[in-house]
This record gives sequence, C-alpha cells and structure tokens, in this order.
Amino acid sequence: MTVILVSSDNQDFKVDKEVAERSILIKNMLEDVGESDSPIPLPNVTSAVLTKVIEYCEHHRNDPVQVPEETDDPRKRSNDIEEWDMKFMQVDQEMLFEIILAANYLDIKPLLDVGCKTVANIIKGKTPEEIRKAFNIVNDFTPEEEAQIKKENEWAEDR
Amino acid sequence: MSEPDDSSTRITNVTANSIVNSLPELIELIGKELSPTDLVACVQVCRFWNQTLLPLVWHTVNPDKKWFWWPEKVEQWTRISFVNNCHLIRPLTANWDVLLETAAAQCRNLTSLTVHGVRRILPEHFHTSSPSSCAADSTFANNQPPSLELPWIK
Repeated sequence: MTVILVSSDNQDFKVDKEVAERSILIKNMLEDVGESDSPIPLPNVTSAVLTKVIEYCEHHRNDPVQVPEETDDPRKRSNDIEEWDMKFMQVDQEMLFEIILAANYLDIKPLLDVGCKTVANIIKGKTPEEIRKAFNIVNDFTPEEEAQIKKENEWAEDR
Repeated sequence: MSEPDDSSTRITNVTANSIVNSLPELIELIGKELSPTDLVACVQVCRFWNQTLLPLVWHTVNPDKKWFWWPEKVEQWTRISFVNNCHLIRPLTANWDVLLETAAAQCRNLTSLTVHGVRRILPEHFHTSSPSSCAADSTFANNQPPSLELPWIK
C-alpha cells in the first residue's frame, strides 16, 4: 500500500505506507483517517527536505521501533552515529537544521536523534567564540556577564 | 568613537532556520548529547542557549567525585555559584557542611539527596525548605548514623 505526501511547495511524493509510518505524525494521521487514499499535506516541509526525510525512512524502513529510554541523568549519552547516517547527514548547515525541524514536526525520533548528535559533534571541543562562529550566533552578553557565567559554571567541566 | 557596529549585519546573516532561533526543546536535545565541558562552553554562547542549557549543567551535583578544593574555595563556590543556580539541581550529593546548610534552605527542586562526610547535620535547616517540591531519599555513608529525619522525605 502506498500513500501520497504533499510538500509545502505542492510536490507529490508517493511512498510505501511502511516507509511513511516511520513518521509517528503520519502514522497517527493514517490511523485516524482509516482506509483512504487522499494525499497527506505536510505544509511545514519543503520538497528538498522531504526528499531527504523519505531517503532516511526508506533506508530505515525495517528498523525495530525505538523504545524510548528515559534516564534521569541528562548527561548519559552516546555519540555514536552509524556510518550510513553519518554520510546522510553530510549536508550544509541549513539543510541539517531543516532536517532536524522536519524530524521534530513529523515525529521521527531516530532521525531527530541523529540530527542532534550531528550538531553536538560540530560543537564538540569548541570554545564559546568558536561555537558562535560555527553557527553564526551573535554574542548578546556583556563581557562582565560572560565572565560571571564562566566563573559560575567552570566547576562542571570534565577534569 | 566611530567604530562601525557589525552586530546588525551579523544578525541578517542568520538564516531563518538556524539553531539560534530554534525551539528550546531542540537546543535541549542537542545539549543532552554534549559532554559537561562542551555544555559549559554552550551556556556562554548567548542568552538563549544559556537559559535553555543551564538546567543541564546543574542537573546533577556530586562534588565528591572530582573536587579536591580547599575549604575557602568550597565556601566561596557555595555562596556564589551554588546559591545562584541551585534551584536547577535535581539529585545532589552534599558532603560539606556549608553545602548541606545552603542546600537545605535553597534547593527547591531536589529529587534526591545523598549526604556523607558531613560533620554536623542540622535537621532544623530542612524545616525551612519547601517540602512540597521535595521528595528526597537520603543515603548515609562514612558511618553517619541514619538518624536524620527530613520532614519531607517519604
């Protein structure tokens, strides 16, 4: 069975139901609607991004459903990204964020995870100024505030 | 001073979907993938990241593991850094008197408290803290008698 997804710029994407249902949002929509072949509009996703998202879902169509593991300590983390995903994420920064936003909107947890890990890997080992440069972020702290924040938080760094 | 202010041109370079104006929950998800050192760098980047990621830096405080500070430094840290941020702490290990006393009065969102190596335990301090938001369990090491009764502990 196939479903038709419609991107924000009105392009139709015909995909297997199994692939589309990697998105929990779409899965729930299909369940609500029941048997129907009316196209599903995705007004928040452009065709360029949807192409990438579908590519991801195609590749991972047979993955077991991820069990969410709730851990009390937010620092428990694993930064390992499998090779295919790593290559998949080698896109420009704008596309990277578009993919993350789409994964969030479409509720595709594993893709969201990979996107966040990719951003985390860009941040890794950088100074605050290098991070600002990497993401084009404007420093809106006064030098005094910045010094204060540094002083208050440096205890938490790895020793 | 006639130095050109480049901040306005820099702002226009920020793309619509950049991480800067992204959703806080996405920044938080990214933060959860970072090491403590990288997190500390991130809270210095800008206000938005600071607000979003500071709770991750301060989530768990366990000074026992890596801190070998002089008492004066402990005192100073507790009175300034700790007091300013301790509402963010969930699990806390208190192993100094000064830390326990301050924690008792100020940590509003503790989920667990481990106490050890403290010379004097002052249960009366804990009567002043807000019991509603605290559901703590205490563990005593270093032969501290488990006699401390914290009114808000189940």
